[in-house]
Amino acid sequence: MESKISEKVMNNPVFILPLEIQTSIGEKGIDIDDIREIRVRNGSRIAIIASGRELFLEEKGNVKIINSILENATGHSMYAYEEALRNGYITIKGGHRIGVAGQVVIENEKVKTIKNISSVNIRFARQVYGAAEAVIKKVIGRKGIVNILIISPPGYGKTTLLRDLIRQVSGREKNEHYTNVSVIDERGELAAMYKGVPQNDLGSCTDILDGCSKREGMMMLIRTMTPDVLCVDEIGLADDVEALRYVLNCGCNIFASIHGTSLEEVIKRPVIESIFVEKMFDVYVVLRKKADDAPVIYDEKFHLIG
Amino acid sequence: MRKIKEISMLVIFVVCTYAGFYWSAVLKKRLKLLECIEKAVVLLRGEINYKSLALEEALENVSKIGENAVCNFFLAISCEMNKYDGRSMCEIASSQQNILKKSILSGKDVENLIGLVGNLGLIDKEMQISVIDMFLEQLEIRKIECREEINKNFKMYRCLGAFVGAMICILIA
Repeated sequence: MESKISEKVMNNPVFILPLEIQTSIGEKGIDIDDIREIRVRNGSRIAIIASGRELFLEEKGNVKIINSILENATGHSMYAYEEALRNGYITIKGGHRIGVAGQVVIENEKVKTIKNISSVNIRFARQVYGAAEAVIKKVIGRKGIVNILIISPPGYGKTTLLRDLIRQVSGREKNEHYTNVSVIDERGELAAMYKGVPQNDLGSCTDILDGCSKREGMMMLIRTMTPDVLCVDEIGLADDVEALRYVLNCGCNIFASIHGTSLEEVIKRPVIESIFVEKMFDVYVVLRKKADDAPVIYDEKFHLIG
Repeated sequence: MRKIKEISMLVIFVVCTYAGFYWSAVLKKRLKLLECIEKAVVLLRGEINYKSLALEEALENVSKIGENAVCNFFLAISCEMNKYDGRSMCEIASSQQNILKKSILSGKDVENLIGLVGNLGLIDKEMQISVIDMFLEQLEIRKIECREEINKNFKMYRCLGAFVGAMICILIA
């Protein structure tokens, strides 16, 4: 029974909500498998995003509900999530991310923790098999494994696509060699590791470094796992660019993702413009708002593919 | 009739002597269990301090080190935490106290162990370590008291058992 409860939370984080809220969701007729996001704000009605719509429950968020969510999410172990909390989020079993907002405690000019948490945003992670189908057909199928950068704003599915891309490429055979993929899963969203076992399917030949910073992770994996492809989610800092340069010089391919609304907007960013100047990537995949819309794919000269 | 009386006296003497030996052994068993608690809590400290494991996993890992009341208690708490029913750590620990009460730990030992678990999970890692270190200091004091009790009473319980048995036999005779 106990393992089933844990599995339920991994599959759907709605079970970390207090029972009365879960009941209220059920009474509203919301299918919990359709929920994408739940927002709980102190003093405001609880918002549920499901099936493309935003709905509000009668119940309002309060300190007790928020504390209960965090207690359940962290398994009464907030101390174990100190590092993540400094970055404003907690990733729980199943790879679901809980963003938190509240009063920041600063020590030595750095964020020490967040106290008096007043809002939580539970983002549901789902593995979508086939999310990378367009990329596989139009890119991998024609050019083989190349360096791919996925560009999208938050919430459009770049992590979902990257996850499926990893899964489909991992173990891919070429000249009697099976493609080894290494993943730096800094926030625990790609693999959703739990007790050393990935809860998401990332393929049969994938090595995962969970909870490690991107720069250090890339260096470590290149030296120790000899990957054919190295995958990293949400690059954007100068350190990330430096590490990417090192990886590419080692002859390894890269799959990465970055926040951005369009290719044109991302190219103009000073911190990462060297990525485009040095043509680090061969293909750029830009995601669009509706999940049904196929991604827009550009080659290294920024020409449309397909 | 005389034979029944002799057999009864023998049985009484053996039972009383056994009772004396049993109570003397309980003293040593309690000390051994306190040492098991110390080992388990030190391991728990390591799981929290070095691996930053969440309590559920840390308690489950520690429960695997042996087969005794303390390990069973930690395992039961780990399983209860998995239920996500909104109970606090204090409530969860109290709900499993029967596992400890059935053992030879004293009431105070049980209370302290439940208090330890109930105070875990709060605030930051430094606080967890402070709570555990404070518990280990108190545990050391109780171990010293237990050893003193053993030195004082171990032989006495054994002799007392035999003596009481002998006295009853004499009275019957």
